[in-house]
Amino acid sequence: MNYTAFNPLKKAALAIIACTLMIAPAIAHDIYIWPSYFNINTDKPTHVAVTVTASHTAFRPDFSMPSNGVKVMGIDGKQIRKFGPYYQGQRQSSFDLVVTGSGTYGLFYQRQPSYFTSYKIGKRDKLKRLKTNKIAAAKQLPKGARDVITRRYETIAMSFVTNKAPTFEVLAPTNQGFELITLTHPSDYVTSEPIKVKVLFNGKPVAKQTMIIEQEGPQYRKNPAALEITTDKDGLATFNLPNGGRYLLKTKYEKDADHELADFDVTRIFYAFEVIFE
Amino acid sequence: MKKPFLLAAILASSTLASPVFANNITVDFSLPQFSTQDYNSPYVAIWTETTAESNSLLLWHSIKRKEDKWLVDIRRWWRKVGRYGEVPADAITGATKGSGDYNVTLDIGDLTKFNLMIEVVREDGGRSLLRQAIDTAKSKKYTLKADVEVGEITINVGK
Repeated sequence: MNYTAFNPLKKAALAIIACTLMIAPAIAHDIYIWPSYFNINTDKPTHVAVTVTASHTAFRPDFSMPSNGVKVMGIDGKQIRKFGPYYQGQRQSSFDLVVTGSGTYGLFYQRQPSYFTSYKIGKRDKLKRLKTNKIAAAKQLPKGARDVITRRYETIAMSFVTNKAPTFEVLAPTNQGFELITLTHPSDYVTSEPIKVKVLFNGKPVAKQTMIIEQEGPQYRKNPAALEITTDKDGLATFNLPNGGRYLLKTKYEKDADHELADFDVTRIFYAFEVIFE
Repeated sequence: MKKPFLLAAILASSTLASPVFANNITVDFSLPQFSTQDYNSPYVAIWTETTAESNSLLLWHSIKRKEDKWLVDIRRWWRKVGRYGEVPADAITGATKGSGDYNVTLDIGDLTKFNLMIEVVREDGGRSLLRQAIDTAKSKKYTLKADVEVGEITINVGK
């Protein structure tokens, strides 16, 4: 077994080189983290290839993402800090998830908060943007700027890999911030059965939350329309997907900011999963 | 998941004066011939499903190596039984088999009302998943229509 050891120096060097080459993905892009296999069967330690990218089309890499946002969770629900060499190209990043035990691993990508201030200016109400928070923007805004709004964006991409029987530790809510919880285990997403998810903010259910579910390869289908669902009063949503394949569930939560750096806090979640045709 | 049940069964059988008689079913089926350049013998799984539990009765797969990572491709069998561990010793296991007629006798234990599941998957080929509700008190013979990867199936209870 070609078992790759973690090399922090190499990783740091790669990260520096990658950063100098990096194209910053636009905030509007969907962010993906997905494994090459969602369900595996192995007794021996093995690797599962993981892709990290930002894109407008489901599962089509467009922008690579840096390694510092990657968070790998082990089957015990605790973070695995060493995840081996990380390749960051122009269009996608990749690394290999090391699978050593039976159960469910969590793959997360968490982007640090970024701030965008938008305002209107001129006779034609031209919409402009600054990549700064509310306090910094106040110093930079031109005279006559109106309808000034600052939003803080946080982004979470997630996916799961299960070796043999499923486990639930990585699916548990942290009760911090906006979260998407899958009540149906990801390895039990099949075409014949309903999939149930829940959304929480600080552990409390979020009602009327809209979620969009896109299947891979919309460019190849007659009707590429995404499925749109909304949570009920308990923050629950149930859906059925008649086609097997890979999907991205995305949802955006916005609330009034409780700090001085923005007017609104926005959390975006992107959940990549597989539906097995059964 | 199945261990407590097994243990309970052993305990129960050891406390009974008379031994528990296991029931058999026979399954007649054929694996069709395919004229393709890339023919691989199919994986076959037969198992029982009740609301309480699922149990493997037959598994034909690649036994070239100790570990068979492609078992995941017997999709429903994997999800219902395979991923939870070893196939029980009283089940039939073996290498994949080519096209032909087969007759297997399977031990259903003390089950009387269950779904009999048959899944056939061929690499670079098709897949069949068949389900037959069985109630041994009501009927002793069941026939299933042929599907893509498996010919007509006859199930006889208690033979």
